Amino acid sequence: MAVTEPHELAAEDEHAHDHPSDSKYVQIALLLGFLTAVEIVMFVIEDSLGATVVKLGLLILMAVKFWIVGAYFMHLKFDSKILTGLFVFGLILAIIVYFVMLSAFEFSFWNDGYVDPGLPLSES
Amino acid sequence: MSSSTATAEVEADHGHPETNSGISNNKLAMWLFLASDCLLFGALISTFLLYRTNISDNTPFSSAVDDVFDIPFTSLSSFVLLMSSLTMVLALSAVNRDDQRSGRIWLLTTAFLGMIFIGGQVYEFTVFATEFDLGYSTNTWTSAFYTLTGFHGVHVSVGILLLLGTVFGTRKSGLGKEKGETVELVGLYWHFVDIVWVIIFTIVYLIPIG
Repeated sequence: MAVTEPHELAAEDEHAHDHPSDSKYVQIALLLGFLTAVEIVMFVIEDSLGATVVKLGLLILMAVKFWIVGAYFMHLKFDSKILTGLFVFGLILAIIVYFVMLSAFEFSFWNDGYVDPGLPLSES
Repeated sequence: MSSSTATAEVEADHGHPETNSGISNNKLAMWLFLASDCLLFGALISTFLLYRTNISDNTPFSSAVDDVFDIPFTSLSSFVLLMSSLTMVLALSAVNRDDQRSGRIWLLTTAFLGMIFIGGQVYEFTVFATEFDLGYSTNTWTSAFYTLTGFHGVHVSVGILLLLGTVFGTRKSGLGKEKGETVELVGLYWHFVDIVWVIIFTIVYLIPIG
């Protein structure tokens, strides 16, 4: 198995500081603003597009905005890949948490009549 | 060349002491913290998603959830937070250029935009509580909503304190290039708060129920 030597990682980090210019940052922010506007338009015209299309479109736009902020504003695109790995690891764990909770509620709690999330707390 | 001289040279070049990975320990720690914070928000968002489709008929949300949310207002808040990410990177860019005055102005602008966002959230919570009679314990939906957005609000507030601390804590020592890493770490936290809101805004406010 290939092992990355410390000096190779350091060299990678050395070349990892070519951040975008200020004008590029402004362009990226304008793009983010535009994508947010598209999200709102999709929300407004939901009836004509259909709920499935809107849901899918909003999720894609959310992922694109997430990636843009992470890659450019948080400099993941330019920094060491170790940092990207760390963050992605956290995200994957978070998604696993969601599916574990979903499974627990779907297959256990509700089936046993353990909790009814729709009831006011005083009645549950 | 002595090892101490070499270390000093590396520190001067990178802005942090030499490490095996080439990444500053502080930066690595911040990313580890952010990765762990993903789990916190992952759990809160999961809880909200599980409860959002199980709303009892005896709450105002069941019939008109979209009417409760003021989408134009929340969209404006989201835009403000997005723009605060821009001012944050401009602050870091200025500090790295050793432009202390611009660095301070952009950091204060970022904190100000964060305060506007928090003000909007306080207003939204107040409207929910007074006009729609939706308290924290009205039902599990409201509990999940207030917990998720409230935790995010706390993160934004901590970010504002970090920004103000950076500006006013460096009044004597200066906010020069050597403080670049400090500003970068505060910036990472701020951008994380921003991307969490990108998810919350879409999932909580925009995606239709059902």
